[in-house]
Amino acid sequence: MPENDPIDELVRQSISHAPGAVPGLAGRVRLRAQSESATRRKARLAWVRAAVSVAAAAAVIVFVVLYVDFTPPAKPETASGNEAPKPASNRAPAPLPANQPRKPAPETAPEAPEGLPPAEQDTPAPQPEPESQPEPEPQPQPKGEVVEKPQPETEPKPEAPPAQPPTEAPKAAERVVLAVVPPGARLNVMQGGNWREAKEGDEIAGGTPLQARRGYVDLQLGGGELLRFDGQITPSLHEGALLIELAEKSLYADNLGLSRRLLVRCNGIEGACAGASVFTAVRGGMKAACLEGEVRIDGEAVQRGTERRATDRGVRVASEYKPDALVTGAPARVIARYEMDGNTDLYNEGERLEDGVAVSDSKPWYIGFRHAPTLAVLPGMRVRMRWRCTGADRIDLEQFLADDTLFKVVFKPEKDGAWLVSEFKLSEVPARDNAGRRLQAGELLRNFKLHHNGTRLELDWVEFVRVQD
Amino acid sequence: MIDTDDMLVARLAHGDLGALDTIVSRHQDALVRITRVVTGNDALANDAAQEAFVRLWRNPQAFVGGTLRAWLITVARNVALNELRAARRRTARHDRAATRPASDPALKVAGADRLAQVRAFIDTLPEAERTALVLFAVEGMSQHEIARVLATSEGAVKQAVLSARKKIRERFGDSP
Repeated sequence: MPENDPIDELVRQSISHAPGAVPGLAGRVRLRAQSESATRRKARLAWVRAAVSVAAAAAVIVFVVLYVDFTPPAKPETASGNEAPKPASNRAPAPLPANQPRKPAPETAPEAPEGLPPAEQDTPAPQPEPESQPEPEPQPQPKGEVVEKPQPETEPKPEAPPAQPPTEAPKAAERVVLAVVPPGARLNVMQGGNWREAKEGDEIAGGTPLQARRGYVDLQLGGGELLRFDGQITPSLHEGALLIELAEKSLYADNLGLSRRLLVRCNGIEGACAGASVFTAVRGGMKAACLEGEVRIDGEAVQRGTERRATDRGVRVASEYKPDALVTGAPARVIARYEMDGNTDLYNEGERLEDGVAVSDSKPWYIGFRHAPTLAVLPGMRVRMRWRCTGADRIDLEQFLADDTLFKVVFKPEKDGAWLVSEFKLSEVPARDNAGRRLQAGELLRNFKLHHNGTRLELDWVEFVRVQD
Repeated sequence: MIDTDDMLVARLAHGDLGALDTIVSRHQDALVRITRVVTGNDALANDAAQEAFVRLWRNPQAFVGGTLRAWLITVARNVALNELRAARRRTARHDRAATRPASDPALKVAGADRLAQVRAFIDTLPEAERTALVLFAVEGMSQHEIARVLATSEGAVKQAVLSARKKIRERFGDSP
């Protein structure tokens, strides 16, 4: 084979011009090496501990074999060696034969819990007393759930005091409703170990496994998080965070701007989201993609527009993430919704409520209301409203910031006298005094106004939503 | 005095992280470039290179003679190929079409410089051919070493290199 073929030089040049390793590679190798060293040390320690435990146990066994007298009490004289004869009952380590029927003690003295060898009690520690009920029952009669029947089991259960009245059922774990099944959701919920079809309006309690029956399931939780999944998840609350166990396929989660932490666990890997992200179950681990905000997987940050995969071998370098239908088809997440039903903080400067809608048909010719003081602009935020106007050719949608800066968009009704749903991207609404300025993420919204120049304006609802672009 | 690879590997056995750092900085670029040729994927190439270094750290005794770079390339290539196969299985259902190689990569990169075109063309060669050629032409490995990396015979290596050269020559001519 020719050593100096000109093609080789061409190949050499082309490959040498390709970029080499990513800048952080050496650091990651070092981190993994350190982590492996620590694991090895721990494993060695565990072995040492196990060896010590085995040696100690062996020593105890040897001691017992050599020095403990197993002679039955009926034959104390058979004890031999230099040990003084002792009552066997004081040292016998063997528990009572489990299958031997236990006779009730005729005395009223407290009885040891079932299965516990009486001779083993070297300290008279206060024990739960199953027989300390007020009713003196010398006969071994069944007492429902309180008194256990003699069972052929050897496990002593002194930790089960019959402190609760027999009629009181064990207190169920606190039930937290996380969401309500929305209309059209093709969702199964786990109940009593079986999947059952969820109905619209069903409450979804924390810890309930959920399974998409077909396609995607969209859920907006009471805490405001939007979840969309096509596999199986189990949402629950854990130390103040929303914890989602991802069992299969993918989960899109959006909690941008919310204070409650969102954690996702899958195959022993944990991810955290304070934004919008996609978590995908993969063999032996999980992938996390960041669409907005801060996303981490296995403690490592995932940059916006990228995804990283984590397994027990570590976290891989990021690669570009291309959203699929899980993200592109996700519904809008409702941030704030204002129904004109008396709960909205209206200006009351001319508008009035009428049959569930706000009406303006006189001066000052607008409908206005105030936001909660914490409502901030988020990336991808939009305002939607259902409205109807008569005799107007101009509508002014005004949004004030907390610092009084006014952002405003002017438009013309498409149809006179018809109910319309309109939507505007907040990022496209310009400031009144500076057309180049747009609403920025993080700015606090204060109040909303809708002006008209017609004879009547009606507003059914307004909502501020976030759409992942 | 500069430590040889053998000396550094010996230090790894004593848990010397500094030796690992030196090995990584010495071989990472070459390893990633070669693995990229194997996989055609940046992220996968970096991951596989990382895995090769970690495996060396985990078990330095596994390196028994030969050149360290060849050993690292062998491990990284195996890791990358395994991962590539697994990834293809996972994605086959969804984007089978997307994973198909372009019919004419040279046209695809039209307008790019000639070296990029050559690189793109190399990516379309069979894995054994492109790896053998790059190991031979870029890394300067002997046929014997390449045969060990690819777990094949020296004759097969020779055939692969000649075939790859021929295809490149047909596409780009003789001049570098």
